[in-house]
Amino acid sequence: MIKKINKKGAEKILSVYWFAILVITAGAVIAMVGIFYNSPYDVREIEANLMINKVSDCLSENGRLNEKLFSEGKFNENFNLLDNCGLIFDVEKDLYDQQGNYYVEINFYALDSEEPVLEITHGNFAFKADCEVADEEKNYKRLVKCSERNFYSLDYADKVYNLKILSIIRKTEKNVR
Amino acid sequence: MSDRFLNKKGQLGETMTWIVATLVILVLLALSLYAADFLAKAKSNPSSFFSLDYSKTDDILMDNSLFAYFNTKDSGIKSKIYEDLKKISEQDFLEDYDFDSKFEKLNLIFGER
Repeated sequence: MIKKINKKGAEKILSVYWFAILVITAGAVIAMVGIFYNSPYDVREIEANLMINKVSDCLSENGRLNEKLFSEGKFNENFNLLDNCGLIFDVEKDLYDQQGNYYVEINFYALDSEEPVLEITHGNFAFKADCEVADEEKNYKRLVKCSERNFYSLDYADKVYNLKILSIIRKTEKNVR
Repeated sequence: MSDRFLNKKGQLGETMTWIVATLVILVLLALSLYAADFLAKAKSNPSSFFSLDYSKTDDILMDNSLFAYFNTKDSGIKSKIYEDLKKISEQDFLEDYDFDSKFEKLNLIFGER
């Protein structure tokens, strides 16, 4: 009889022990998942490159500049990049603050000139300065991400232009923690 | 007397087993938590192995430039564009982009014109 009571006590203690281990293990698994999925992927560099692709695709097709870029034989200074390329920069603006999340700059260079013949910009110009700092010091994760590329295209008179596109994405809140 | 002594030894052995087992479980959990934290930090670092890769085999800008190259008649401008495109194609993000094969394909098409 004494032996039986003793066994029952040991079983109770073991049950409590197993329950405690179960709770600790479950808590650790939940914590692991939380830690991993709470840390976002930083996709800003990819997004900046996507914007470059979108802009280049809009400005030039098969190596020829978009006809809308010209008016009466000259570059159209009033070319509206956002409307013509289907870009919307006001997305998520209200969620964070009023400074916006994008900046894009396109410079058209004739091959024999250092000065751009046309410059198209949209977005927050202030990001450009951050971009230079971010390039020098990779530890500034909370600064903007920049991407710059160039490509060649011909106008209606077969003149070659080198187009340099600078694309900047902020979106720090969604990409860095 | 000796029976009671033996029983105590048995109980002590069993307790030690449980303590060691508990410690092993806790150490494994702590290591897993550390690994999760390490992976979480690594995936937000663009230069790490776990981050998203965007190397590509196709590139709109390079294709546009190649079309511009083949539509240009001036050989001086052509060689300037070619040199620049060759340099661009050697950059890291275009390591999967086969510039020479693209160039050859377009050369065949434009050469037949």
